[in-house]
Amino acid sequence: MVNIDTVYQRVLAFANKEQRGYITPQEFNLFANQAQLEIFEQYFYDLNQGARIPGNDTEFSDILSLLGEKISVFEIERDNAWVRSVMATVTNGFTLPPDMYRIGTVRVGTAPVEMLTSKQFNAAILSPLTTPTAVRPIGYMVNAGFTNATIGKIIVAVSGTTYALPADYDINLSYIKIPTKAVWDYFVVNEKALYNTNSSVDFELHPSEESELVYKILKFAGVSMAKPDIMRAGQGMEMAQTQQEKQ
Amino acid sequence: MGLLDGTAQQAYYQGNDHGNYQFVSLADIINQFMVVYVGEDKIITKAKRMDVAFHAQRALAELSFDTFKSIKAQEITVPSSLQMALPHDYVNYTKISWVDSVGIKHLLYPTTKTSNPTSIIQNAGNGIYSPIISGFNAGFTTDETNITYGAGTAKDATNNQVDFTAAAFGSKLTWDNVTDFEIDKSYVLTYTISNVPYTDPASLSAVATITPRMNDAFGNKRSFTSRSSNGTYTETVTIPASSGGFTSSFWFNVTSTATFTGSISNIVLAESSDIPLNVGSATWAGYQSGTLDGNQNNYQDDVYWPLDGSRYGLDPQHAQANGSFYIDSLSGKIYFSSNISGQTVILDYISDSLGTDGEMQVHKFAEEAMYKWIAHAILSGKANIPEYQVNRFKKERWAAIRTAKLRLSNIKLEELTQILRGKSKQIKH
Repeated sequence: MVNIDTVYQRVLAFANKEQRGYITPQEFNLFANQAQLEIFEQYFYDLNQGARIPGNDTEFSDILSLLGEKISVFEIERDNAWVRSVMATVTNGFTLPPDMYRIGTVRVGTAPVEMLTSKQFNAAILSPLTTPTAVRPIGYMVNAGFTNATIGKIIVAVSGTTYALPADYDINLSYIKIPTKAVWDYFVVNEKALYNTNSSVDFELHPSEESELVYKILKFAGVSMAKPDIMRAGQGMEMAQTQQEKQ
Repeated sequence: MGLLDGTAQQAYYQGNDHGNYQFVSLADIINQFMVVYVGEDKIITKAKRMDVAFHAQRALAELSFDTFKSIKAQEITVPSSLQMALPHDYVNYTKISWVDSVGIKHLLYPTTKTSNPTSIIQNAGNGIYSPIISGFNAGFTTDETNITYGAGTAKDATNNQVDFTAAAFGSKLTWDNVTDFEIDKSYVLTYTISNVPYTDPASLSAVATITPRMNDAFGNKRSFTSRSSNGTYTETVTIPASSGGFTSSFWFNVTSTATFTGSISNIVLAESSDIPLNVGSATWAGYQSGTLDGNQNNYQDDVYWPLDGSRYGLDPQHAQANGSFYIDSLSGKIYFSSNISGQTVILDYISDSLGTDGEMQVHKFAEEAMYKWIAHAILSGKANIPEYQVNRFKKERWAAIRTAKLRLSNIKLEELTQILRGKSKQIKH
């Protein structure tokens, strides 16, 4: 969790609001969420990059462990009761969690479901040695073909002819949720916006991302205010940090 | 940490799953392989559980064939038909033997000098028997192209018959466009009526009848005898000389005012000259009825072999009196020689261990061989794996299988010593 007011004040300080221009709360909120999503999405590509290097066994320095810790902030475990009440049953499957960003592991009881493409799924069903069982279920996920295109469905099979539905099987899952939208809210006193701690929403990112958030927002603000020096400063600091992290 | 921590001694001895500690389940092997062999910083960085499961099952099957111990066996008393159906999960046999009164096995040997071929049904002219109509008959495939099911009639695919369900007067089961019936020729009809409910003979007016019929040249009906009860009927009808020959059809016709309920099957209509000669393999019949040479006195005295010491060319594979068998893979049966009739026979056989979830387990002596097998199978099927790594795992797999085979062969030093003592008898005296 990163306090949004801390970030806002730092951005304003960097931007030198008296000289170069004020960043309004509305603008800040837009840039804040853009920055949060950028950092969040980059995790998954960094994971792939990190997996290619040997890594190390020292605490707090292995890149994969660090990334795993940052991502774990968004990782959610849902039990069967939640799945049954939230994920509606549709033909042969059930809908995706409404706040899902990336699917993690779907399980039938304790058995992890191997997620395949629909083509692989259909091929696996046909073969006696690869056909799913209760201890080795398989599944696939579809997004297209729904009335509401943002909602997909998961199909899980526990035999060549049986689809597992939450009502009949202990289906539980873990997934990465969408980061909550950060909001710097305020009330006006003497024509000035004062931070409202009660209705504001902090960044969900790991605390280690605080400075990167500041740099990114600063960069966006520079672009928005047509102040190339601010933009370049933000970009430069961001690059320096990235270089330091990934060296 | 101990593997037995979850099972109390008392629960084990009171249960039925004795000796299971020597095995590890295939599901555990797959799970353990996924945890230990697959992942970052490992040679197999990524593998689908499905692929691992596939190779694990293949490994289990292959090791079942020649590394694991053969533990499956069935015992039957050979019936007079001298046949035994192969077990559900049969892949091959390791030993077939008959058991004497003290429970000692006597090995039966396979014979390759006989078989059970499909017997072609021939007619008197030694040609192929080809009836005009063969419907719902176990001996023939029913060609339904020209069959019309009238009101109250329906095909019963399960029982391979046609059901008449309260069929009213005039209802028909018809074959159209059959071979033209020729004048002066006789035709034999055989059919079976079943499932006709009991009818009280006293109330004849209520008896329902069905009549087989065929068209003569002028469209006049040539009827066979009307039937009203269950039975198998054979009857001959001749087309008179006054008839010509054109479109022919044949049908079963409900000819009573009472509705007919019953089933018809085994329908064969053929020219009377075209009757079947034989059904069933004469080869098998001969083997079944033959008396084993070993039970005769041929080998006991010099009646058959008049010159002493002149049994030249005796073939060891036939020089035994235990009996013989052959396996007909087409019918899935073992056929025994006649001297085995009534004997208790044991079939020791191997399966691929994939028949049921319960048998998908591996002896712990072969657990390492399973891991090495799966690892090699995955690496050899993956793109961009250096050949030296594949070869390394190939060697490791081979070594692990060899170790497993050696361990499972159950050689114990004391037992081996005892056997060797016996072998030295001849040297002693």
